[in-house]
Amino acid sequence: MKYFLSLCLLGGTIFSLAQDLSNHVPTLSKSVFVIDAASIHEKCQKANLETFEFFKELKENTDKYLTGSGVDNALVPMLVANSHDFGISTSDFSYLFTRDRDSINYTAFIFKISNEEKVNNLIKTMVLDEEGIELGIGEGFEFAYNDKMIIGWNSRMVAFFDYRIPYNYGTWEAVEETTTEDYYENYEDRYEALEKEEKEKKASSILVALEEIFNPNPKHTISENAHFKEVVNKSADIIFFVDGFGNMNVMNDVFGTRGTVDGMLSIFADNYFYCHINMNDNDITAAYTYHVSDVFKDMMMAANKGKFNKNLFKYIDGQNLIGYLGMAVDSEAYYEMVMDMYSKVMSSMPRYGEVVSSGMDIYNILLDEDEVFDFIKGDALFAVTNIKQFDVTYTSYEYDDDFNEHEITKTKQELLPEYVFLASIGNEKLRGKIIELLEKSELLIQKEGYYLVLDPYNSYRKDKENGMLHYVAIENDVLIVTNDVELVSTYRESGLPKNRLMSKERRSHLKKNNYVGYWDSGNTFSKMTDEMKGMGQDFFSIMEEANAVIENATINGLSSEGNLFSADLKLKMKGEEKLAITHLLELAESIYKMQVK
Amino acid sequence: MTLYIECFGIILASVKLRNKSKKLKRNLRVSSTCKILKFYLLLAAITAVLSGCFDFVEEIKLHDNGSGAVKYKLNLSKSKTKIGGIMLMDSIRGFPVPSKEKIQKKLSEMKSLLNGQEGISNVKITENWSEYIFQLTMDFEHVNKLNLALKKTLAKEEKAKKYVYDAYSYSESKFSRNYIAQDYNEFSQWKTDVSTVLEGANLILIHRFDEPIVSKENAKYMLSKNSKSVMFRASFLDLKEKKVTLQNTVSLK
Repeated sequence: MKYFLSLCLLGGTIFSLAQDLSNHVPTLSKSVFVIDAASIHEKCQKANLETFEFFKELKENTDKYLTGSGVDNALVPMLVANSHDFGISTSDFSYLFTRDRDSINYTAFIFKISNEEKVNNLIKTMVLDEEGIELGIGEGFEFAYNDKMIIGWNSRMVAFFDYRIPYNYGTWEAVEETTTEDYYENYEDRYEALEKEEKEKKASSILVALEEIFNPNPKHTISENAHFKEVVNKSADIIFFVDGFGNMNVMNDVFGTRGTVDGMLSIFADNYFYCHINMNDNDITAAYTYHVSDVFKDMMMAANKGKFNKNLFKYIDGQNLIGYLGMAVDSEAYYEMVMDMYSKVMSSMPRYGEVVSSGMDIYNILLDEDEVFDFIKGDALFAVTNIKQFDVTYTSYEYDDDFNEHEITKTKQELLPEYVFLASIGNEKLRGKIIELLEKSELLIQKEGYYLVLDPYNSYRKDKENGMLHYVAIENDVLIVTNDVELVSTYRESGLPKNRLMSKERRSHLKKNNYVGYWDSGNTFSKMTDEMKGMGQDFFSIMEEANAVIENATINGLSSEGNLFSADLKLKMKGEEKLAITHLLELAESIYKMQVK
Repeated sequence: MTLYIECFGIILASVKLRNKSKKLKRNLRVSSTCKILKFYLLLAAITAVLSGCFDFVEEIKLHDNGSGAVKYKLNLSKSKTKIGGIMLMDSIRGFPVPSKEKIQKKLSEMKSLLNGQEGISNVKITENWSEYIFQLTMDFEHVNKLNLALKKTLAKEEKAKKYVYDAYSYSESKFSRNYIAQDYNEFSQWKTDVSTVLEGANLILIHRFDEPIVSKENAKYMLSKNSKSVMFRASFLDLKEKKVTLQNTVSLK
């Protein structure tokens, strides 16, 4: 009995897997979203989605989707968020995918039916009373379409499509057919015959797409894709999957069919990307993972070994930090990886491939790598440290008693971001030469221990220090470029005082990762209040709402495991009393209300 | 206002949406980095969006026989940090932002068109991309030919042509600067209040003559010390709200 039960359980599992709609998604889909409708529906219910005005509007205008918005723009969010009302099964995943065929390009959303009556009502609302709808019956499914959308359905599943017939589809056939072209008495007859032919061609393209989904070849579906299987093993509200090999065809536009693809294959083979998106209680996360080919794995690993120089942190003012973005790589390994990638791609170019490839080789021979990589260390950080009033000079004109024009320079205060760009550099001799060259070219003017960047346009003016001023300094093997004169004059040698440095959390973020990003919403919006008001009350309201809901956003990366390289993006919401999704919906509501006004 | 539309409009408003070229798929890191960089650019631009602060100067030197030289100068220097930020973007608040190359191409087209007009010569366009000051100068055989040349040139610009009228006339020692108040209904479709755009924007007209001025109709025009020039200075907002008019006739000795 025990064995029988185990067998039943195993059989049940296999049966349920076989029933999953992934075996209706073509394996050559360009990208696939796997949507956990149950999870999203539950979260939307908790956030009282039904009470939001924009959602009510979406629901009331279901019939407009066929002629209005695209599938992925409005229909999918509306259906998924309210799956019960529309009879969508929440015990199964729904799929949104894009597919480019020669005869038709489409974005399709497919889902299983839990309540046939509700689905029928939805389809009736969408199809009835619409002009230009064609109805049809395929093998085991029914369908309806107009110029923009297709709906296919049977008792088990429904598919909504946005579609486009490629402009060049059938071009060659038309050329061949010209020799046997029928004779028409007048232009109207000929036009009618052509129109009929186009209609038939469109109908057959649509049927091909529907057949591919409703009656797929089991071996040609994404459920057979080993990478995809791995990716969906880990649960998420939404999973985004792109099979890199499938996208090799984008290169066709560049190289045509004559390109030698061996080099490129080594880059793209086994190359795929996925992202797990989760709407958690207090944040929204997107975990990106990129699987690279074996050829690039070692290079990526080598390039990824960089770390941020701690000296950089001394120059970032943390008191009003708006955000930062940075990367730290092993510059030599990174350069080799990029050059190798370009070399492989460029050498695949028809006719010129060999020439370009040889050119790149000569460039590599001539480049003094020891000098360059001793100079560029590979870590760089760009930070916006404040938004404040700066003195800005500008050109104006005065007129004398006879109204003759005289150019003058005026100064005014303007609210601008205060920024700093920092990078580790070495090779004192080389950097000395570069600075000297820039000074000779009058692009830099030496000040006391730092340089003022001179705009070439201002080099002929009496007052060369015109406009927004930028400064350059090199200290402690750190290149500093900033518009904060205090940083390069007072704090250049010692770095900023401790009480002005970034928080421990931020420094730890920079120490632990080599690709980083951070944005503080509160500091941004609070500084910009007056400017936002100047852009109108509506814009101000949305920004106020954004300020009220988003606390910060961070990017952490890259970690690696075998051929997989990962980074993650986290959007942290304010106030734990509300769910992250509630915050998002409230923001959407503000935007909706502004548009309605 | 018309001249503002004529020149500034040609430069910015009439440039159509740029065709989006097919882009190759980029790798994960590069793509995310670009997006974040764009965010910071947006941040820089957003602190500055679309509030005005520019001067437009029309300067005419008219000789007794109706010939002369004209200079139109758009000075955006006061907003240069804002424009510098905006120029880095593809579009801002629904407005497509033209590239420097596109603007230069448009200016060069305008120069060629004006050069080909009868009675117009010595057309020069100067661009200062550091201060965002743009200047168009040309000589004309008669103000009537200047009117015609502007009309023909702007007829090619869908958005600007409806604002064109005969702005100048000269006969029997009388010079008139004509003005037809503009309809601002079109601007009400803008996502940004047009008043915000025009705030701090000034219009300056200077008309110089060989002979002293005997009389002028519009009191808003000031007379120079040597009595050979008049100058009009007003904000675009006043012009929009019809508090002032450019209409004026001067009688010469």
